[in-house]
Amino acid sequence: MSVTMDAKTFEDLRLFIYQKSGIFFEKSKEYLLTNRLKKRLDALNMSTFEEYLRYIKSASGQKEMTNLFDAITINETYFFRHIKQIEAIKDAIVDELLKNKRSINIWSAACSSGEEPYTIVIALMEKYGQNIPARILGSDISKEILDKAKEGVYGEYALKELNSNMKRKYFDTIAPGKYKIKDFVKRKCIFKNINLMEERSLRSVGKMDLILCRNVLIYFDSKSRQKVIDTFYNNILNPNGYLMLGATESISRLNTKFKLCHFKMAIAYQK
Amino acid sequence: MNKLKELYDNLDKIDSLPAFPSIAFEVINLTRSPSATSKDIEGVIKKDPNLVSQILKVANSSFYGLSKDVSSLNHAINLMGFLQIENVVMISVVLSSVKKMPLHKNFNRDKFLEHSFGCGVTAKIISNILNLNFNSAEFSCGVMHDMGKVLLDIYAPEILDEILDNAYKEGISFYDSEMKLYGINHSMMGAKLLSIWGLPEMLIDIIKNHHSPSSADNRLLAAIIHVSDLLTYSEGIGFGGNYSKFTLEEDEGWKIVVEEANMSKDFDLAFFTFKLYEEIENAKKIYFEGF
Ligand SMILES: C[S@@+](CC[C@H](N)C(=O)[O-])C[C@H]1O[C@@H](n2cnc3c(N)ncnc32)[C@H](O)[C@@H]1O
Repeated sequence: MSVTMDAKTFEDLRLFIYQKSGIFFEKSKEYLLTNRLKKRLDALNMSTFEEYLRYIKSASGQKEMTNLFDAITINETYFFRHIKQIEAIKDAIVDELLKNKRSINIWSAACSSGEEPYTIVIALMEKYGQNIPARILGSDISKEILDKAKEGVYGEYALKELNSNMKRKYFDTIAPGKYKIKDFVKRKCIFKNINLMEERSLRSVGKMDLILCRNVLIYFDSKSRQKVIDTFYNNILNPNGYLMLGATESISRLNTKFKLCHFKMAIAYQK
Repeated sequence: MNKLKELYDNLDKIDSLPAFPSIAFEVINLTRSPSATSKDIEGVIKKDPNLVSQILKVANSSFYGLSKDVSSLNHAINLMGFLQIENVVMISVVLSSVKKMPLHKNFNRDKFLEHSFGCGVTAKIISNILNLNFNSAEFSCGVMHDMGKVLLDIYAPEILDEILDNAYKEGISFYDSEMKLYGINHSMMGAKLLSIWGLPEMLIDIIKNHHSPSSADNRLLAAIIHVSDLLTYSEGIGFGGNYSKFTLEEDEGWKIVVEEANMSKDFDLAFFTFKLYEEIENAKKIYFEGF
């Protein structure tokens, strides 16, 4: 028997999720929300979404929040995703940022299972060798996914963009189709649990020169996107620092002081 | 002695200078004459079997998808329209000039052609998106904009190398590099060639000012070519290998476009960029097929 949700419950649920995480589920994504939350209903032995909604709104439901975030976020990611952006970072942005300092701070602001921050490390190691002039922070709202990032074990899918030479160089094959990121790469990243919608935890990252915030703001509505982008601009990015969104994401419709810069087959926003 | 200045001053005395075929000239005069008919144009084009086959090739490319099999020149002309015929003629001129280029190590002929066509196509797409009507001149201008570089490559290859090297070393544009080293640039060079050829002033104005659009008579068209040149590079069409950035909002050409094309305040540059890139992707498949 399949559980469904009525229009009102969907409205209430998405409002609640939005207020907590900034992720906005469009009507067309209702099926996604239903599918994902069904697993939580099963785990909690509940039979309706109304019951689940009442629970997460209650005081005792607080501990369900992480599970909720884990269930609704989409953790799709892989190494060297949007490769032109990675090339622009490696070949142009980093050079420019390093003109005035010896080392830069890079933040992968929704790093999922770690592919993105590790990709930056690998790209920079291809250019500079193991002593890269950058510190990399990876963060995500989901603790579960961060544990995966820290573990650093991946399947074929995550490595689909890498040739065998690159695989050998940066991964140990621990079982057929299972690759563990090498320690010298892992050591360059630190991971933190940060909710982009929580101003306080957001500011705790300190100053950054480059922020990657790819494929996460798409799940937010414009108001919460604006809030996050303002905080990036006003409190986190150093002067002339860059923000990179997913390949086809945009912020220019919003009120922003960021400048849109064109690189070879990639765009980025500069403070 | 400034060798580039010498080349520039004596351009009209060079015997082996790439020629603008008289047939091409006749065709352009006809396509721009209000009283010309497709029969007139057919009559001229027929004299050049190469041109005939090129036009049929384009007419049969997927760009004109609906047509099954265009085998008569007259059908092709009617199907494509005069302006498109003019474009093909311009392209054939650029192609034949470029064939004179030595197979140079740093300056790749095919990549150069790709960049030239890419710029023409991009100019056309931008004009469409912004609802500007240049009667297809934006395409010819785009395709011809770097003709000056062809001259450099044929007559001063070692200087071309030097300019490229210097641009690479200093991380500056080709234009800035040649200006710094010689005070002469490929826009001037190209414009002079076009005027030796006796091409319309309007075309010369744009080629001459595609790096200085505010000095052009037709500022808007020069600006469109300037911006197309940049975007062709950032879209990775043609030669490059250079990853430096540009910011449209701060670009001289883009500012002219914004001002003269009456763009609204809430114009979304990122959205425009995505749309443009998507169309360039499509056009790549269509245009480059016919040649
Ligand atoms: C599709 S992944 C993107 C991963 C990577 N940036 C990429 O582009 O490949 C989206 C990630 O955003 C995280 N996320 C969603 N909402 C968040 C929030 N409010 N704060 C921090 N991370 C969030 C999800 O947990 C998920 O791991």
